Amino acid sequence: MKRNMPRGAVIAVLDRGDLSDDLESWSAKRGVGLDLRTFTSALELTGDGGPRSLDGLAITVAAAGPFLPEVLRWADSQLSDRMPTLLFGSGKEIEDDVATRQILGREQITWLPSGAARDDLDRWLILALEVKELRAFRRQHDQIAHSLRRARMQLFHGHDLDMEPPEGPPCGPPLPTTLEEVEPLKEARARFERAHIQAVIREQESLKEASVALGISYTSLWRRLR
Amino acid sequence: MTAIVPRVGYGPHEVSDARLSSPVASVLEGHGVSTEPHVELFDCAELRDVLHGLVGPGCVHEHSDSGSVASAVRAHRVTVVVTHARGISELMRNLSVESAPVGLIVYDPNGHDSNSAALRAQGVMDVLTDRLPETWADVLTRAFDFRALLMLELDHRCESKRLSQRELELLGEPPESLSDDLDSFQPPPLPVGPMSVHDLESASDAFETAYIERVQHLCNSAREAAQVLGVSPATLSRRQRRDIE
Repeated sequence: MKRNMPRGAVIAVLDRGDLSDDLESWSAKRGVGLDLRTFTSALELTGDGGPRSLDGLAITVAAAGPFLPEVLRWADSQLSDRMPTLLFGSGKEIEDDVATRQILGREQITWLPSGAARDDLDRWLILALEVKELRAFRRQHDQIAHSLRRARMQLFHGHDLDMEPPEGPPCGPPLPTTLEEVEPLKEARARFERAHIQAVIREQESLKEASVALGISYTSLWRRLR
Repeated sequence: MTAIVPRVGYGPHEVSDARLSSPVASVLEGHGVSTEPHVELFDCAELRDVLHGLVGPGCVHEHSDSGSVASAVRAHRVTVVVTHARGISELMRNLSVESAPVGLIVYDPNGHDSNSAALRAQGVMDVLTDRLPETWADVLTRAFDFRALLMLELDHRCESKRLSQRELELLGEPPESLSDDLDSFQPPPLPVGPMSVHDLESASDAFETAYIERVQHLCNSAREAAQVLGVSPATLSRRQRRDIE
């Protein structure tokens, strides 16, 4: 498991079966420390004692029962960002048919029929973790942009710069919005490659692994870093 | 994240010292952006010698037309505009200072040709009445830093937007398809997590495709696009064919 995989992603599970156990074994196998919060009833999940901050929600139709619409509404209203959600079918045709109709238009919900392959569960968990990472980096970029703006306005008003601009996570070059801003293609690509290599090194445990992920030789990576 | 450090002073400078302050220059270099400073001098020949002494003759670009100042501001990343008080109205009209964030410094030797408070309110960064190199070095450095921070901010906002788009794609939103919308169409973000593209060549090709597409929207013809991109029309055409395949 690469070091960029988030530790402690919080996943709420609404289930009366062994879904939590499946998720536990997945996290142990992949070395990802999932923080699983298991609930056995919709009221328990959506009540005052329920979670307020989640990275993912896994629900079984059997456990949600007739309260599935309330659970989905709760998820929509409690969280500012759309949450990766997994809905497991019960294997009963009528219940599953009603459930799939209720999730129409909610693109963030992944439907898995009862008895779905383990790979599908893997894919959803990786997606939930990746979304968590994307959000964490987005927040970091927004905070840095905000602090840079503040510092810029201080300079404009004649004050000294009271902060060192943070290095922050790497950024790809912005695309030009006017002809005057266009750089030669070679330079723009070089800027992008530099940032991309920095980002991949951040994502991997070692330079060796980074070179494999980048599809270039270790020597070539070393030369580019120099 | 934003470590508080001893203030970067803008006190008296040595001549030939009007550059970005070193912490700002170091971060800008980390982003792969040139730290070379540029001064766009409009209708103010009296300051030529002072500015040549402070930033070097090669970095001072004299303009007699205010329209060309606006183009130069977009072309140079670390840049400052210097003008005489007598030409400020025309320049501000063309530059639309409020929407083109650049340090605009006004030279007003008589001290009464302009209302400095009113100018500042309109977006002028400073009004100077003398030609002392120390005073100009101080203000120029501040204006270069101002512009550099803006470039860094733009980089971070842009990457944030790309991450946000990627998140929407993962959560089932269709990818942006309106590529003629210059403000929203972006290449994928840098890799985050195991589902991203890590391969250097594939990622660079995706960026290059987005870059070429953007430039073509800005140009009237493929020939012009090739010229501004510094490649031959045949090369540009070959790369586009490769993308289609």
